[in-house]
This record gives sequence, structure tokens and C-alpha cells, in this order.
Amino acid sequence: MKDRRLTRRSLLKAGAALALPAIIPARALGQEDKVAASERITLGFIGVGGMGGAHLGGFLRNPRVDVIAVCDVYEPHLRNARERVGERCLAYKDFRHLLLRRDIDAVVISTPDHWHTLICIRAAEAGKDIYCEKPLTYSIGEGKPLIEAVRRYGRVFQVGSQQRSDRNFRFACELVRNGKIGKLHTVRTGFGRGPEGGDPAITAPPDGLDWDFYVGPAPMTPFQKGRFGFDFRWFTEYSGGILTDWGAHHNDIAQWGTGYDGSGPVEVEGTGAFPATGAFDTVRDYNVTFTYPNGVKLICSNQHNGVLFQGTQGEVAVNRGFLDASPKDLLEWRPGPGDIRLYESPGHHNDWLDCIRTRRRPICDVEIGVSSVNICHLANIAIRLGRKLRYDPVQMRILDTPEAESLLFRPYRAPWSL
Amino acid sequence: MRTRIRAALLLIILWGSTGGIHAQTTSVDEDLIARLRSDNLQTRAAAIPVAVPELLKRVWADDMSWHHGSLQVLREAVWRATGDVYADDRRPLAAALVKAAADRSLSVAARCEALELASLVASSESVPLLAELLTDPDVGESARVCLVRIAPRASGAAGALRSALASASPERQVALINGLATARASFAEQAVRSWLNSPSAEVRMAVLRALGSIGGAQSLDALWQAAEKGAQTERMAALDSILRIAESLPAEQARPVYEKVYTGSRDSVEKCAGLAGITRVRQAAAVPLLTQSLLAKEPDVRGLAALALAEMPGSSVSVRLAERLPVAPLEQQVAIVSVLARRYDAPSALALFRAAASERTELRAAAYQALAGNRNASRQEVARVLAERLPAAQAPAERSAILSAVVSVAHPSLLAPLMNEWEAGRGNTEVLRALLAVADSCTAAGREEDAAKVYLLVAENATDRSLLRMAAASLKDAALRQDFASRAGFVMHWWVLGPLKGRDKWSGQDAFPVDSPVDLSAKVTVDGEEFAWKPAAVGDPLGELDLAAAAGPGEDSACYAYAEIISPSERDAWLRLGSDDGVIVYLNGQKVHEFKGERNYALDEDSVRVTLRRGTNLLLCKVLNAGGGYSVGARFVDMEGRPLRLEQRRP
Repeated sequence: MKDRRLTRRSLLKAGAALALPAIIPARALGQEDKVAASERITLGFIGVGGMGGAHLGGFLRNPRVDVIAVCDVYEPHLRNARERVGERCLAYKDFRHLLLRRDIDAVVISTPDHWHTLICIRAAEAGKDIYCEKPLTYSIGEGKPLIEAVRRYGRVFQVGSQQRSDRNFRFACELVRNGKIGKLHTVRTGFGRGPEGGDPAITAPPDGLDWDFYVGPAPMTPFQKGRFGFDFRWFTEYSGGILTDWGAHHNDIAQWGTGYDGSGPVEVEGTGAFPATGAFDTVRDYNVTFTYPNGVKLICSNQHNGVLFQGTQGEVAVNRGFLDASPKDLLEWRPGPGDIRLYESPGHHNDWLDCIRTRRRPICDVEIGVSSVNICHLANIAIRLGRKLRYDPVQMRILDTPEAESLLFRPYRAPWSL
Repeated sequence: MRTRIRAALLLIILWGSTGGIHAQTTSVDEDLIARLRSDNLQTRAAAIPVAVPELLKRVWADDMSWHHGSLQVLREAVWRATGDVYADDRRPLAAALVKAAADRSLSVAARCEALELASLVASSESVPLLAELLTDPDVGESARVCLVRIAPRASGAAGALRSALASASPERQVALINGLATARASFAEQAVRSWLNSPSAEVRMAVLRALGSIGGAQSLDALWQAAEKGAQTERMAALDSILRIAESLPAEQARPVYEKVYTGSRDSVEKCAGLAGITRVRQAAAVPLLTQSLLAKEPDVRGLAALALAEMPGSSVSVRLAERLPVAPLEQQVAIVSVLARRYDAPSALALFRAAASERTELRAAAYQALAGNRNASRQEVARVLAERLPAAQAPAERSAILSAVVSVAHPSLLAPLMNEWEAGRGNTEVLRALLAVADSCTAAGREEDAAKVYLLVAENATDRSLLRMAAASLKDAALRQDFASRAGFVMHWWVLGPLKGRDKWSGQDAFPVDSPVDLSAKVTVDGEEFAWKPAAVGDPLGELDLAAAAGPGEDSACYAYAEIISPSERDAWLRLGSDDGVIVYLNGQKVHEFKGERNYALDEDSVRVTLRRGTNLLLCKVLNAGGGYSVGARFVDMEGRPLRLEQRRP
């Protein structure tokens, strides 16, 4: 597919200096290969399995950084990562030891979801800037402590919701925010069904895995094969399933388009179905409706795929590698002077690195990540409770139902605490 | 009997009464589960004490066949009970679950699962039994979590945690202290603080962290002592709690805390934290300290100060920054300018205009870009300043800053001064980039002819292909698109022959001698089918010849594209190519390039050094298509990347 629709202003600006005159990214000057050692950002990686390994590969190719430490609770991952980086890199099993190093500027966190908040808070305390994979938190109750910690220590925090750095998603949201589809009334998101399966047999953890450390703040259970590795996300002890795994992407775009970053809906209700067999226990089918303060409905359902914004005068649909609109000529629109221009990122990794230097908030700052994942958590709660819930998006609390409040936060297994 | 029940139940899929939940059932009597789901309160109340332990027997049992379904039924019952309609189920459910947690005939994992579920429905009534379970070696931790979770609604729950502290092992003390912190049991502050001198480092750490949640002003002295004498980790924990306590205090109480953190800071992290706190409580009164911090040696302190100043509400902040600007050292001036760029008010815009007229080159350069980004500054006025400064700017950094600002501002009034720069011989890629941005605004202002001149100028002169792409994207008029492509040096006139079936076959052989001049009048027979050369003209501004349109759809095929280019002299050049998918290229009968993979067409994807002969040069491209659309594009540029607009043979 040939995409001829270019945004010139953005491309021109990408080649020009930043508005902060004192700092011009080496990339913009075409001097990437000449970044002096003293100017490189030193990174530590916490979690070097699937996504962590992918991030490691990406950053190893980036001349603006030096990777000097890796950490994982699974010995083969750790060994493999260290070999990829080289001799200078030290390997840790305990992230706390890595965080104590003063020569590490920033950390990339790609552990299973239930670990994200705790490690991020400790990293902020230790003065590290942070890139953390989505979904950012395990529960709604983790959001505020995380934001407070990041702000308390003035850290630069990027959530790995990389769709925001994709031109198509930004353009779709700019169309919406500039009223090009008229008044927005509905957003539809979806990402297919959650999986069913997983071997329920209890077995021993694999050699080289510190199972107790892997479980960490989550409840301890016997080991089942799927609990370690990619399928962790289908177990409620560690994740919110498909609703957080993919919801953190598409519902994040929905928030961006509706203009509710840092906030969220005020009502939610939904239904769902859980797997009938196997070990996975996160939701399989889902149909959840959120209502925003301005009356906009966000309908999140496995009957849909991608993000669809519907307004009184048109609609725009977007997904990875896909963009369409009705009427079609909306695709030719370009923002002009006075129009709302959304944050334009030079790439998710590079945006974070730029902001580490400029100390500005990156495209997917912690508050954005928290407010986006909170929608996903709310969806899970609404499905389980099976009734309409009222929500305060600023205080991040469910109103009226004390028992529902219990679902906002799961106390950590000892000895871990926020 | 049991086997028959199991077999029968294997065939049963129960639909939940809420939300259509499926569950594979267990060997429990189907009637029992149905009663558990009944709409009748008494029926459910009778079923709960029986169903709960029966289902829990199947959870995390040796035979895991029934684990999933049993757990799902229990979860469903608990979730339902959290609502008003089934609220009466909470007591019997909580009682049954907590009782089951004490039942040692169940697996440890099942007992823990029972407590996890109980934490959603239990109340004060469950506290005594949960408190007993705190000391159970198998489920004590789960009991603790349950107490923590119910603490907000169950009196005595947090008290049970506190009561267990004194007799607990250090490991359990850590857990209990964490629990009190999570439950925000401020009444336990003194009890917790008393363990600050524990010989166990883990207990001390737990206390330090807990005080941040349950402590208050009365905790600060102890925390400061710990911060002063503790190891690095204890200092970090103590300071974090100090900061968290400060966040809960009124501003006048918090301020000395933050100032102490700031002045006593041992590293930039602590300094940032102190500064962030001072900013939070002092607001505009913190401006002098923040402005001074713009000169801090630590980058994150400078950054935090800049962000705080940029985001602080009130135009009085901009006024104070503007007042400081003329008397500040250069480094601070530049930092203040970047802050003012992000303050969208009249005083900031005014200060930036003044800075743009400064005698200091660096300050002017900073101000131009800041003005371009400041939404409060009039675009027209900013454009006027840039237009005025551009001819006079001598220093490369200042010129770059002006041109960069032009890209952001992109006002039509900037066209003339930019064209003057070009015509005066001071044009380069930066100027072209700025011109393109202005061309956009000319189009928006109805000056399409002016915009077209810029696009064609870019076509003729751009050595940066991204500029070509940007310019091409704006071209709507077909004639203009062709003119653009021609001026960019693309081969416009081709002859095509094909498509010939079998990409792989034609990747290794040819349908005619390729080292001889092509006879365009001759027909080529391939596998009994006759092919003739057909003329094809390029309409795409980036030189792409659509072979599917010119020769026909060509899945798994090859197609030849031929052109004759006339050079006035022998010379070296770069042949720039793009293709979809692969391509083998011959120039004057010699193979000069090949790519046999799959790819989309991209401008100037390949670059091949060639020598053009004086007179006619024969360019033959064999395009190998795997599937879908296929195409090719080519142009010649000089050794500096500028287009060579060479004559071509036309049909």
C-alpha cells in the first residue's frame, strides 16, 4: 500500500530544530552517529523476555544510548540479554540492586503487568527516568500513587502506548478534535476475543526461574505452564486480560480523540463471558459502554476491531496500518493555523530520549497512561459486577458501592508494598 | 453414582444469571449449583454453606479437571453479592468462605482462594476468625490480605493487624506493617513507629515506608533521624515518606519540610523533590528560586525548574521572568526564553519580541524559535520580525534558527524574503524546507501560482528526497504533477513489454538480447504469446510508472521498461531508482544493478553510480513482480544529488 498522504508541516518540523533553542536533537542535525559517550543516556532494562527483548534490540541500535544493565528473574533471559549487550553490561536478578546504581540514567520496564507500578515507583525514587510497557498498572488504585511518585521526583515517564507515535492515529484524533466529523457522539473500540485455553496441570516451574520473585506482589498460586511467558496476561493474578492488553492501546486512542486525557468516563456498564475450559481466566467476550461527561459513548466490544470515531457529519476509522474516513475527502485535510495540533512524536523511543534531555513531558506521560488503563480496569470491574457503576475519573474512585471499591486495589503479597 | 454424575455434568454448560458466564461444572450435584444461583434468597442462603465447601474441594485439587469451573461459579456468586440486589448473600458467603479457609482438609491453595474471595464480601463479623488465621503458617498471608482489604468497611480489621504485631516474627511484622500502611490505619502510627529501632533491617524499611501512609507531622522527627543515619536505601525510604507526609500537610507546615529536603539534598533526585515540593506550596513565590534553578548544574533540576515555570498559572509569572531576562547571564536568558515560549500570554510574547531584537546573537536565535512556538504571539508580527532579520543574519546558527522558526510560522508574507535569499545565492536545503512550509500557507491563502513556483523550485533543486516527497504530496493538478516529475529529473517516457508469466523464470533469463539496442517495432514471442512494445508516460510526481496500468495486471511476472536518455556530454552520474518489487537494470547493454526481493516503490530507493555517454543512453529495466501492483521509477542526478534534466526520446 502506498501512503501518499503526508503532513508536510510535521515532516518539515522534524527536520528543523526544536522550539527549545538550547537543545537540538542529534537526529535533527544528522549527527546521530556522532553522539559522544558522555552525552549518551545510560539505560537499565528490567524484564528482558518478549517485549523487553524487543525493546532491548531497538535501543541497542540507537546511538543515543548505552545499555549497561539488564535484570530478569529468569536466568536464561538474563544470560541471553547480557550476551546481546556485551561485556560492559551487568546482569541482576533483583531490580532493586540495579536501581541503586548511580550511573544508570533511565530504565525500561517490561515485566508482567502486576509488577509495573511497584518497580516504576521505586525507579522514580531512585531518580531514574522511566519507560514502562503498557498496560501501565494492574489496578485503578495503583494509578494515583504512581503519578504522585513520578511528579514528586520530577521524572520523565513514557508509557509504551506506541500508537500515539503513529501518524495515522494522530491524524484520526486531529480530525475528531478539530470537529471535522461534526460533533462526536460515539467511539467504538475492539480487539477481538480474549483467548481460551492454557494447560491447567500443576507442574514445577522451569529451571532458572525464581517463581517466588516472579509472582512478587501477586497472590501465590501453584505453577501452571502458561503463568510464565507470553500467556501470563490471561491470568487474573497478573493482568486484566485482553481488555488491558489491547485495551490499553485502542482505548488510549479513544481517550486521545475525545480529549479526556488525564480524566475519563463517569459511567460504565457491561457484560462479558469467561473461558469455559483451560487455565486462562480473564474475560473472553466483552461488551462495555462508557459514558463521558459530555455525553459521548465509548463502546468497547469484541465485535469490533480498531477505533472508530462517529460524529454528526462523518466518521473516521483507524487501526495499525489502516485509516479510512467518511466522507473520503477528510483524508486530504491538513491542520492549519489555529487548528488543534496534537503532540507529534518522532518515534516512541526517540520521543522519550528527547524528553530526557529537554525534561519535557513525552507524548504518553504517566497521567495519560494511568487514565487510559483505568478505562480498561473499569471494564473488567463492570463485567464482573454486572451492573452500572458511577466513576470519579479525577479521584479514580467508584462511587456508591463500597464492595466495588475493594476491586480498585489488590493489597500486595508480603514483603512487597508500594 | 459419582461417575454417572460426573459424566452427566460434563455435558452441562451453565449460563450465569449475570452476563452470560459459562462454567464447566464439577461433580457437585447440579441441583446444588442451581440453588446457589436461584433468585430466591432463602434458597440461596440454604445452598451457600453446602455449595461453598463442596466447590472449594475442587479448586486447586489433585484432579484439576474441575478447578476452573468451580472457581468460576464461586467468583460469580461473590461478584453478584457485591451489589444491592444480592447483598443478603454477603454474610453467608463470607461466613462459608472464611470457615473454609480454616478447614485444613482443603488444599492450601484452595484455602487461600477462599480468603481472596472472602475479601470482597466479608465484614466485621469475619474479623475474629480472620485474626486467628493470621498466625496460620499456610494461610496467614492470605488472611492478612483479606483483613487489609476489608479494613475500610470492617471495624476491627486493622486493629487485628496491629494487635498481631508484637508477637509476630520479623518476617510477619513486615507483612503486618505493610498491611497497616495499605489500610491507611493512622491510629497505628505510634505502634508502627516504635519498631523503627528493630534489629531487623527489613522491619525498619517497612516502618519507614509505612509512615509515609499512616504518619503525620508527629512522624517527621523520627524519619529525619533515620534519613540522616541510615544507609542509602533507608535514607531513600525515609525521605520518600517525609515527602508523602508533606503532601498531606497544609502549605505553611509543608514548606519548611520541603525547604529542608532541598537545602539538605545530597543529590539531584533529592534536590528535584525538594524543589517540586516548594513549587507546589509556594506557587508564584517560588519563582525566584525556580529562576535561579535554571542555572543549576544538574540537568534534571534545570528541567524541573523550567517545566514548573512554564506551567505555573498567572501572567505575573511571565512579567517577572521578563523583568529578569535583560539582566540575566546568557545561559539563563536562553533558558528563560524557552520557558516564555511555553507561556501563552501577552507578557511572554512581548518579552520574546524584545529578545528577538537583542544585541546577543544567541539570544536572538533562541527568541525566534520561541516566538514561532508561542501561541500568543501574532503570526503576522512574528513573520515580520523573521523577514526583517533573515537578510541581516550572518551567523549560521542565527540563520538556522530563523529558518526553523519560519517553518513553524509559515506565513505567506515570508515568501518574498525567502525567494530573495534563494536568488541571492544563499539558498540551501534549509531555505527550501522553509519555502515549502510557506508554500502551504500560500495555497491556503489562495495564492496557488506562488505555491506552484515553490514546488517546481524544489523539484529542480532538492537534494534531500524528503523535500521532494513533501512537495509532491501537495500537487493536485495533473499538468503540475508531470512538470514536477520532469523537473526532478525523472524518466517520463517509457516503453513497456509484458507482463511475462513467471517471476522466478525471468529473473534468470531474458526474452530478448539485452546487450543490444532494443527494436521498439519488433514483437517478442514468449510461450506462443506475442508481445509488443507499448509507450507509457509517467504521471506521478515522484516518477513512478504504474506497470499494471501500462502493461496489464502482472501477478508473478516480469515486465520490461525501456527508455532512451540523451546526454549532451559524457559524465558521471547517479542513477536513482525505485521499484515494486524487484528490478534488474541495464544501461547501454551493461547490467548495472539488480534487486530481487519484494518491496513497495519508494523514491530514490537505490542509488547506482554510472557513466553516461555523450548522446543516447539506453536504459532497460526488467521489473520482477511477486504479486499485487508493480512499478518502476528512475532518474539521473549529478554527483551532488541535483537533478539532471536530460532530453528523452518520446513516442
